[in-house]
Amino acid sequence: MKDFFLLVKAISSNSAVRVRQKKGKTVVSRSSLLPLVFAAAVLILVFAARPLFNILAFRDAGVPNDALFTYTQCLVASFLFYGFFMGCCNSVTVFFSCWDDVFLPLPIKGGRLFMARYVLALFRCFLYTILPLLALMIGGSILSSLPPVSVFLAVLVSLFSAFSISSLAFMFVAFFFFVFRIRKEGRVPSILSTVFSLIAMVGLFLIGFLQPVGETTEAIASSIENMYDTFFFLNWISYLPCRSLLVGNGISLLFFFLVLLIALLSVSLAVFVGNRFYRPSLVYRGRKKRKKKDEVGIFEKTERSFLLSYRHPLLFQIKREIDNYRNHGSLFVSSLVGSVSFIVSLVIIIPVVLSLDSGGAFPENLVFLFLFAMVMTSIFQPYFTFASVSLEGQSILLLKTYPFNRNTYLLAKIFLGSVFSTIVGFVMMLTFSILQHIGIAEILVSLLCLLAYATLSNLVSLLFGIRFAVFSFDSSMEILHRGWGPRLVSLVLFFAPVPSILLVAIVSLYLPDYLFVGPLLSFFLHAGLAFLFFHLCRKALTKMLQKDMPL
Amino acid sequence: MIRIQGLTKRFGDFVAVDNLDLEVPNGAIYGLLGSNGAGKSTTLKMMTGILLPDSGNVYYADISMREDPEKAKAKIGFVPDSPDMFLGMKGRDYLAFIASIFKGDRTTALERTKALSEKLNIAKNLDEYIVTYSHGMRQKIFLLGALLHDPDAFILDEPLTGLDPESAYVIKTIMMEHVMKGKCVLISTHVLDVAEKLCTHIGIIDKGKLLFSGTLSELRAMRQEENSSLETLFLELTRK
Repeated sequence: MKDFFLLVKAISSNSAVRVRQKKGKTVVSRSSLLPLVFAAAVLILVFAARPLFNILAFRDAGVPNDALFTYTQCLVASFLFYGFFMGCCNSVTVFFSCWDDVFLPLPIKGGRLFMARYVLALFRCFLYTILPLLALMIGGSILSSLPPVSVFLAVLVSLFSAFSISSLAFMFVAFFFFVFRIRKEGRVPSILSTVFSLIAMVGLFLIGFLQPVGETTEAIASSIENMYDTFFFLNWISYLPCRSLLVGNGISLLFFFLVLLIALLSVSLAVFVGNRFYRPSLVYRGRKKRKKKDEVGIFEKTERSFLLSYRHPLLFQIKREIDNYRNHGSLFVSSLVGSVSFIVSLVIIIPVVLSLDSGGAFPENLVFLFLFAMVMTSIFQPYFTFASVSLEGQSILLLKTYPFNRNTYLLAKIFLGSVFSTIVGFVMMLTFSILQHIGIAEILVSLLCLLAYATLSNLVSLLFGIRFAVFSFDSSMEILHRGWGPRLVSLVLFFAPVPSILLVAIVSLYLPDYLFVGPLLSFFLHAGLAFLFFHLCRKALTKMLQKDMPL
Repeated sequence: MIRIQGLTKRFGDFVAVDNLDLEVPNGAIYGLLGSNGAGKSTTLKMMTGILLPDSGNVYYADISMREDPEKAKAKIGFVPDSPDMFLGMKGRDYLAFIASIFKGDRTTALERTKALSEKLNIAKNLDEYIVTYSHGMRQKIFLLGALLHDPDAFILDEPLTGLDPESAYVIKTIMMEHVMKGKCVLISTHVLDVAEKLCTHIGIIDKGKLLFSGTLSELRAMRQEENSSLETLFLELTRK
């Protein structure tokens, strides 16, 4: 057992070591768990705190306890559903985060290596899943006035549900490994899990939004009962036992043992699959060798490269960025997962929501449209901009010796992200505009503002990316998981639309007939800030290049 | 010409390079020799801008690295010891990138690419990603990149490590052709046989200090050992 945990520690160290200079000395440290804990705290806030307030409101409205508990279970079911996909993303990181090659010369069985990875992935996913789940389950059980024993059993069911879901996610990812035999850069599993997540999340949103909640106590209780049937199929692992706890008979214990059995079966399956199928001799399959090319043809292509780099250096640098992202496919795809899934799901959901809305909750004006699009742009910031400098890797040492153009370099770094962010916001805006009959001139003004805001948000992301650059990594996914950088970017961008919101609100208050002035002023604000942040990025880049780096 | 004045680098209490003074004249192949950890790579990295010296300066044809790093870097062609860089680029794209950075004439750079890639036998690999290259091929592509703008100072860190004999011979030939144009070459190595045959000038560095700088004849005269090999002289000097 001790040897097994030493192996787990070795695999974890291989992907979580940081080397930095501190007071002239080279310091080797492990990545802090604090960012993970911070992320878990945010998950608790979003997935547990807000739903609990809903339950409290329902209770105050007089909804009966059994309906409240059923509603809790619907939330748990939907969270576990998301938990599966979060588990997949985590497992892609851990599973592909370090080479098996270092273990090849050692007498370690394949099954043991597989279990070590399983334990690591489970720990991470468990951390993300269990904390919000426990908060939701305990809070919901107490608010539903369950007896203490039932609350305790509900907690145990949560623990084993989270364990089972995390295991299933890991096995799902491992399946792709076995089928595709792709090693370090898990591009295909990332793409497939993205597509799968997209379909599932769109489906869940459709199911959720098509369930009207109602306004009276009886209506709420009735709609919650309707949700029961829908969510049963999503969370059958823990739903039945949790439901039976409310009834308070001996069957609840039977279902508790059923969940425990499923958890144990998950572990047994992992052991069996690992021993049967996992072979650490699976080696990274490099790119296919191209056919021998005519040398004349190659020099024509070389001439084209030289032409592009001399005449259009910015385009050349953008092409270089695209090539870089192609070689770090899992990072590129992972940073788009949430964005693409959410855009598509919202584009489907918005017409459904608007058709259900009868009370005029969505204002038919430019202000709301603009702010909504900006908030979406902020939330779905592509993290590949943040990672773009870190993706230089060891090349940064050679780059330090070149007198390259910093402006072109920085513009190339933010180009793709800015385009993507603008598209995200514009698609949201366009969906609403078509349905709410907003004029073309107003749409174009808003598009201009969105472009400025998208550029600004990517410059903010890039600035943090330069400040928190990580040049030494086994897998590019480590860049997004190490240190405070990515979390700080999320935090800053979460609040970034506030100045614009205030500006637009003030204009709409004092100039109600000239609403377009708000977005226009926002454009100038964001454009000015973008110039400032570009200058800051340039300074930060110069400072970074002058600094000694761990060799 | 390369001129180093009082170059010092400390890592905490450890002095990696201590007040280094040396000069690499035009037309010279200067070999910086030393054991592992002597300070060779640290010296080269300070010369090329990778590390910031704590004190001292480096001059390339009287252009100071401290005061005008952009102009100074335009005079250098550097080949690192570890060629695991720019792996995501194709060979031809990497060369185009380097050529455009140094702002040389495009046609000249293209002609040099063709000539050197054929000489180094990597022409047929230019359309492939650097990540697919072997160690030797990667060494060659970075060598080619460093020579594209015909730098005044050609600096190589352990250039012959891991190369097959044919490739090593080609690189030596390229170095000799470079100095024949009136430019200078600085290589760091701990392979003394190569240094003895190839280098016109040598510098011996040990524990961060430069113990000797000059020609092999001057070293022999200093030690009063006319027939001793470089290996013998080096070991005597560093064991003192």
